[in-house]
Parts: sequence; C-alpha cells; structure tokens
Amino acid sequence: MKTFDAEFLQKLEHLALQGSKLIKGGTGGNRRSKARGSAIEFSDFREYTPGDDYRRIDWNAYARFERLFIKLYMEERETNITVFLDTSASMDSGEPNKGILAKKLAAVFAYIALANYDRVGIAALNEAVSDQLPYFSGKPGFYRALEFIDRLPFSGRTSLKSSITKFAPLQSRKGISIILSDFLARDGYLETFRYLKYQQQDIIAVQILSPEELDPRLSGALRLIDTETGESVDVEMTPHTLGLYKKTVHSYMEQLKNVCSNMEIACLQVSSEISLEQLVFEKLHQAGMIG
Amino acid sequence: MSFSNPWGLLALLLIIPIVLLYILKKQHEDRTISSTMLWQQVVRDLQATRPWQRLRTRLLLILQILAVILFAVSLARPTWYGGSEGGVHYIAVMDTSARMQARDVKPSRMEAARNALLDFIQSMKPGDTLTLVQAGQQPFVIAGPSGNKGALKQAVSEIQPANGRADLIGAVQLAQTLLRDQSENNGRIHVYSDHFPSGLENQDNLVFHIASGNGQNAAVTHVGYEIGNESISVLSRVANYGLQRNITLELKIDGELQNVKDVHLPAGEEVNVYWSGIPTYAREIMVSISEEDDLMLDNIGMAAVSEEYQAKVLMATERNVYLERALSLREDIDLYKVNPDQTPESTDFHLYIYDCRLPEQLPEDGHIIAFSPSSHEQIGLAVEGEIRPVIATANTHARSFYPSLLQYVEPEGYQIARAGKMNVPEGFTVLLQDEGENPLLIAGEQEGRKIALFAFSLHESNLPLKADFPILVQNLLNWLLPPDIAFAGQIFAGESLQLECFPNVSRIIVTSPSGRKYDFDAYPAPVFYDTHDIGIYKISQQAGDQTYTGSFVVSVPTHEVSDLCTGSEVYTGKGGGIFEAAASPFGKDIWMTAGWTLLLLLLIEWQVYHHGT
Repeated sequence: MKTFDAEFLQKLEHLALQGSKLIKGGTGGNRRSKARGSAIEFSDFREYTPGDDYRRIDWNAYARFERLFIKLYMEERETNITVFLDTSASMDSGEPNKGILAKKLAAVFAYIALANYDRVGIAALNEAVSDQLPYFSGKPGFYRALEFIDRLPFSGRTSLKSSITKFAPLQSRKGISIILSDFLARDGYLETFRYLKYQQQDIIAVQILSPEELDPRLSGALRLIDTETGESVDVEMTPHTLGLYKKTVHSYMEQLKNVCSNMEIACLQVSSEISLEQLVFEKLHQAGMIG
Repeated sequence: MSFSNPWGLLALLLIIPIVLLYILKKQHEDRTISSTMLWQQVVRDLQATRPWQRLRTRLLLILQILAVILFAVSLARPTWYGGSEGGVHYIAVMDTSARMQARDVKPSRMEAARNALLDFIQSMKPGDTLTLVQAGQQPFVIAGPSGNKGALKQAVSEIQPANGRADLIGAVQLAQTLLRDQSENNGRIHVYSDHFPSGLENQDNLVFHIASGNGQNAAVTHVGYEIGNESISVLSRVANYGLQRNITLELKIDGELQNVKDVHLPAGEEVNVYWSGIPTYAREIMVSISEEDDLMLDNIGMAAVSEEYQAKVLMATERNVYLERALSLREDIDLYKVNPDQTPESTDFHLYIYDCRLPEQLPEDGHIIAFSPSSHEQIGLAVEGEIRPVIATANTHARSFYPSLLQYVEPEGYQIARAGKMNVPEGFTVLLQDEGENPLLIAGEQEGRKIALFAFSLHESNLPLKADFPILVQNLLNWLLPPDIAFAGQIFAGESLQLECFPNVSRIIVTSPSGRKYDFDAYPAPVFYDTHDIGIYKISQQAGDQTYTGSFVVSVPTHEVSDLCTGSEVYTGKGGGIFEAAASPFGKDIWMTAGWTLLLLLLIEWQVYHHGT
C-alpha cells in the first residue's frame, strides 16, 4: 500500500486509540491501568513474543529456564487491539472500492496501536475467520501486518456473529475490538456486539458503504444478484423504488448508530469515496476513536 | 358531436399493444450488486403497499388507455354542434357549381362540403328534420323534410357536382321560403359552398360553411374560329386566375393533335392565342392546357364547325324593296320572287312570304309570313273590317312565348294607316297590337308549320322606315329559318337549349359527348335540358330522305367558376359563420380540447409514475 509512506506514518505517530477498558495481562504499553500499586510495581511474567520490547526481558529468568520471559508491571500495561476486517465478497465492490479503504484503515489502526506499544491482532472475516495475524507488538511488525492485510482476498459471505464469536484469541483478553465492515450481514450485528461486550472489549465500529449502495443510480427492470449468495431480487427501478431504498439504507444506518450509542460503542459510518487522510485525521478524531 | 376524420379512430387499436405490454411479464436485466439484503427489505415494503401499487399500476394502464382514446379522438377531429334540444328544422343548401370540383381543398371542395354535411346530419338530434336543397343551375329540393338520417345521408352521397354555375342566391331564397312553410320559428339554413355571395348578409338563420382554399387555376375561356377561303383560323383565349406561370397549349382538330404552343401567363391576366392553317374540313376544334391545376374542368375549350345550309325562300309580291333589303342580309337564303298571281314551279321552299292575299290552299310544307292577309279557313284566320289609323305597341306578354322575336325591337312608336281587324287563331300569340288590343302582328305554329301574320301592309306603315324593321325581320327569319340548325353555337353546362329545326323535319336526334342519344319529335320545338357533360353535342334532323347535321358546344362558364378565389372573403356579419374547410369545415372543432386533455393526462401519469401519489 503506497499510502503508507514515511510522512503519513509520522503523522500517525501522534495519534492514540481512545480505549476505556482496564487492561490486564499486557506488557509495557502506554495505556494506564486502574490496578493498585505504583507504576513500576512488578506484576507478573509472561513468555516473550516477537515484537516485545526486549528491554523488558527478564534475563535472570532466561538464565534459569533458558527461555525468554517478559516482566509485567501494573503500570503502563499494553492493550490488545483486535482488528476485525470484513473480507467478504460484498466488501470488494463500489467505486472507490470499499474493501481497499477498509484494508487501509485496518493498517492505520494497527500502526497507531503498535506506535503506542499495544499488541495488535488482525482477523479477516467472512463466514468465519478466514485468516488471522496473531497478536504482536512493536512497530517493526507493522510491515508484516501490512503484508498480511494486503494479500487478504475478498470472498464468501458476511457473518460477523459466526466469525467473531469463534475467534479464540479474543477470549479472556480485554482490549479494543475494531470492526471494519459494511455491516450488511444477514445474521445481524447485535449478537456480535453483545459477545464482544461480554469479552470486555471496547468496540469501535466503522461501517463503510460505497456510493452505489448509498445512492444507487439504477433504472429499468433489473434482476439484482447478490454477489455473496447469488440470490436475486426483481425490482422495477422507479424513482419511487429508489426513494424507498434510500430510506431503507438510511434507516439501517440509523439503527446501527442507535445500537452503538446504546451499547457505548464508538461508531463511524463513511462512504468509500472519502479519502484516507480525511477519514483518519478528521472523522476518526471527531468520532472520539483516536486522540 | 361528430367526427370530421373517422379514420382517426383506428388509433384505438393502440390499446391492444398497451394492454399486452401490461399482461406480458417484463424481462429483467441481470445486475450484480454487493448485497441484496436491503433490496429485499425494499421489495417487502413494496409488497406491503401492494394494493396501492396494483391500483397505481391499473391507474397507469387506465391513464394510458385514456390517453390513446383521446389521441384517437383528436385524430378523428370531433366537432360539437351545440346544445340545442332537438325539434329544429334545418335546410341544407349544397352548392354544386363547377367550382366545387376544385381540388385546392382535399380531396375536393365538393367532397369536403359533402363530408361536413354528412357530419352535420349525423349530429342531428331526435326530432330534428332537414330538407336538402341542391343549388345548381336551377335550385331544387332533392330530399326532405325528413329526420331519417340514413335517407338524408344517401341523398347527400348521391349529389354530384355540375359543370356549370349555381344559383346560390336563388337556392337560399328557395330555402327561406321552404323554411317559412315548414318551420314555425326555429329553423336554420346551412349553406355548404365555396364562397359567400353578396346580398345574403344579416340573415339571422343563415349559416355559411365555406370549403375554400387558395386555388391556382388557368382556363381556356374562349375558342372561336373564322373560315377563310383555304383554311380556318382559330382564336383561343386563356386566362390565369393564379400566380404567374407558363403553360403548354395544345390544339386538336377532330381529335388529332395539330399544334402546340408555350404560353406565358402573367398573374390574373388573359392572353389571346391564335392558330392558323387549319384545314377547312375540320369539324371539331379543341384547345387544352397540358398542365394540371386545381380545377381541370376548364382546361379545355372547344368549338364546333357547323355545316351551312342554303334556305329557299319564295316571296309573292308585286314589289317590296324594304322586305327584299331586309331579306338580303341573310347570305344563306336563296330568294325567289313571283307575282301574286303566279304559281311557283316548285313547292320545295322552306319559307313562303305572301305580300298579298294568302292562297286558299297553303303549300304542303314550309313556313309562312303574310302581310295584310284575308280570312283563311285553313289557318282559322278571320279578318273582318278595318281599323285606322292605329299606333302599334309590343305585347309584353308575348316575350314569355317568343322572347327572341321582339328582341332589340322598340316596343312602341309604329304608326299604321290601315290594318285588317283579325282574330287570333288557335296556337298564335300577339306580338304587336293597337291600343284597343287588336292584333297587328301574330305568330304561331300549326301542325309543325310556323306562321307570322302582319295585319297591315308594309307600305301603309312607318315600320319599314324604322331601324327596328330589319331587326324584326331577322328575328322572324331566325325563328323560321335558323342560320345554324343548333341555333346557338355554344351554351354553358346546365343551360337548356331550344332545338330549332328546318321545315318538314320530323325527328331530331341529339348525341351527347358520351354517345348517349336523345330522340325528339320536331314539333313542337323541343327543349334540350341534359347539358351536364362538357363537349360537342351532335344534332341530326331528319326531313324525309334528307338529313341535316350540326353540332353545338357545351362549355364551362369560366367567367363564373374559374376564379377559385372569388367570393371566399370571410363574412363577419350577423347570423353567419365562416369556417375554413381545409382546417375545420364545420361547427366548433374540439380536437384541440381533446389534445390538451391528452397532455394533462400524460402529466398526471408522469406524476403517478414518478411520485406514486
């Protein structure tokens, strides 16, 4: 992704995800914990994973067990950031393509998290988790994440519920879950939100729709074929019908917005024609997702 | 209401494909989209409002059908004739002059007027009646009064345009008279013509319907000839009743093309075209315009070269210079003079003039003129006593019997010293009489013989000294011995012709241009009426073994019918109404209303289709 040049990444350095959850079990991130004790109070060990700050490796433990362990402190624990990227076939549509914008946004969230010493995991979703990048931390891993995101294909159906609820790494890990999707999921999103809340996740929902989905310019008698399911709908494209569709789209977006509001979920709804800079530096900021 | 163009209703057939399009399932074009999830919701919402949608669909169908109906009705050009309640008596006057054959109104002025009259009959309400008057050479009633639309339409469809003039004013006067007789107070006269004649303004119950365009026409207005020693010269006259143009003029002799000339016709002018070198054996001369124009009828002019016959006249007189001079004016007369006591060698004379006593036994054939006759049993003439002096005046009633005999003759001022007091035999009419109504000149026919009797001697009156005398003699000779057996060389179509004939002729046969033969008894002199066809009519008179032949021409009265624009000015006076036939022949044309309603319907449909409400 050519968008991520040095200048753009330098701008992202100053941003941070605005999570509200107390994080437990993380390594030295910049997110403050509400746990007791001072900032440098030792808390626990855990095994080293690539990307961990090697300055926190407990060399004594290494000497004894010949394995690398990281010291965990109560203060400044790292946060688990999980980016759920919708890679169903429906995302590969629109002009500009909404899947590409979603991929770029996923990379942005990953970099912001890594820049803030958080742990990042990325999961590609369709009917299930089609692919995933295990949690890692440290900015050097960003390009690995970028490569991972870049090669993700768009296929299959959208099913947030069946995919996210079966994402095992999420279990028992508090953190922030970012869902990048069109939310055009036949099994809905409410159960998914409830599940993530149950998993003590702060949720950031970004709904990306294409201009064609927001304001279709269709005419005549059409047989609309679903790119995911192959189902078809015969519709006479009259101004009345198009007007009714736009009302339906608006109502659907409002419904998502209300659900998010009620469940304290940060929600942003954008068209794929928005530029990445505008999305990151204006919309995400205005939505309180980054600061 | 009726339709000016009923064929426009064929557009109603468009309803069939519209209904079929609604019945047939529409073919949907495949289009792949990201997700149909929301579209399924839309379809469910649409189905939730299906009753209205069905109604809307049906409403669209109904609106489209209504639009087609209005479109068809617009094409058919409906005409509304007003809201009278019926019981009205109408008189329709149909102009059948030759000008109605003009094609500047399609298909012709006549057909446009006929269609309009048929529409009017169709629009008549129950209780309405109509009398149909045809305005031709003589106006006459051809149908009605009747409310039977079928019979009236049949009568209208049988009206044929004539080739002559039409007495439109006479027809309207006839209609007014009929209306007074047939209707109490609510009658109306509808005149279907191509012009509005002056003199009919300000008539409340008169409605004129004009079928007129801007016709371009040229006409052959005259064809005359002069027989020379070696050839015949022809003068033809061509008039242009339109814009400036060039025409090709053809001359045909006895049906064979003889000569062709290109003629330049300035706008509104008449041009003389001369033809010479025509052989003397020519009998039928025809000059025609090759180019087509809006009235083809008058593009042909004809003349018939009649044979000349010498008439034999026997005059028994001691001496009568006045009479001899008057007789000598006719070159086709061979005059034989005898003394009163001489018996003529031959009795085969066409005319006997007795300037003396009448013989007791009249000749077997031949007409007779006698001066100062005595009583004669064979004629039934009784002369008893004398009247003197007398002043002769014309009998005004005589003109109705013999209009030509006293033509151009002063009706009074003739002094007579002495005249016989004679009776008026059966079959005779008094031409001149004195103040006491004693006959001084009588004329009549007895058993096919024409007789003119003067009660006085020319020598005892100042009549021969008057300029009227030779005219009177020529009138008598023309009556007794027609210079041409057709008498009038040319008449206009629709006019009648009295067939004069030679003495001892028993049968007269007239052959029309179409070959139809008419057979008449020679006496009394027949009148030939069937002069509808334009062309040369041949006459054959049978007198024993001898046959006299001649011909006369029936032509178009170009001076009255060839100018297609005359009299088509719009009349805006009281009671009348003028409508251009080309645009709207009759009544109030409401197709524009239908057209606007159609547009309104389309707008409503657009609103329903695009907004659903």
